[in-house]
Amino acid sequence: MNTLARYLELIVDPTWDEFHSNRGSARHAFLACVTIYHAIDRVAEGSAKRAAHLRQVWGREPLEFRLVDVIAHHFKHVKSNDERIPPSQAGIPIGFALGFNEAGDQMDLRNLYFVIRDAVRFVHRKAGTEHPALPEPAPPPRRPVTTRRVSTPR
Amino acid sequence: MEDLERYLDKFVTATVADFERNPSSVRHGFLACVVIFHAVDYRAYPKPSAGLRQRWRNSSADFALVDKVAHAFKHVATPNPFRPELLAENVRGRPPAIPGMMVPGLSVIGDPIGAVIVEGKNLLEVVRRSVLFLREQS
Repeated sequence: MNTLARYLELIVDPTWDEFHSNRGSARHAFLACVTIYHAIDRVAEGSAKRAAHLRQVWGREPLEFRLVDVIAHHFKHVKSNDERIPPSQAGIPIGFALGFNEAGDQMDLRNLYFVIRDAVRFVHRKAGTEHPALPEPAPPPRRPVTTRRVSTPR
Repeated sequence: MEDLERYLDKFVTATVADFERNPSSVRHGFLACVVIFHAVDYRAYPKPSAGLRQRWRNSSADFALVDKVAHAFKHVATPNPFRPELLAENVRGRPPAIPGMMVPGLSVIGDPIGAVIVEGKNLLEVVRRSVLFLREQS
């Protein structure tokens, strides 16, 4: 279970599947986020990089992994560090973007479903694998290149 | 969700029930340990939880084992990766001894349920006792 691919197969994929079947459940969303987030420890285990370093690097890549990190830590520690904006500092708490209310005890899961789905795809890309039910979306079709015909004077 | 009792009702009870339905699933055992362990954050909030965690570990051998399993799962090994107390791979599923699920060398003849075994203990029993411990703290 310690390699990333095996961890995704045994832990992340079935936990995502349960959230997929219970997409109105904050508990299933939390469990999915915790398992996705800790994929980072499997990568750190197999490399010289520390998990804290990888967390920063992965958090800069797609927004989805960063958001999953916030949700996992929100539930684990009541509030994540990203949510602790000092009152003197201007800004909108990141929890609002995730559908948390002001108190942080209610959340809207409609958009979160897609955030977590894309984070599952992200960690699979890191392993070079795919969730069987979540293949990478096809790239948008390229527009054919058109050349304007210029009439040349005779 | 800063109230331990609400956390126990909304998160812990349901996740432990999932494990009860899948008693030989290492994944369900790990998830149950993670939600049980983080009850300490809800009890301590808004203060840091480190001191209370140590007190709970000293008060309950079951909570201490749940703590180790949760951290082995999250971080592969726990608590110090250079001198790990417990490795995730040492938390093992023992399939029930019934046709179609029995695994020679792992399953125990006469066991129709199966279990997750850690340090020689049935993790589900440890989890159940930890939940009782948490209820006493709420």
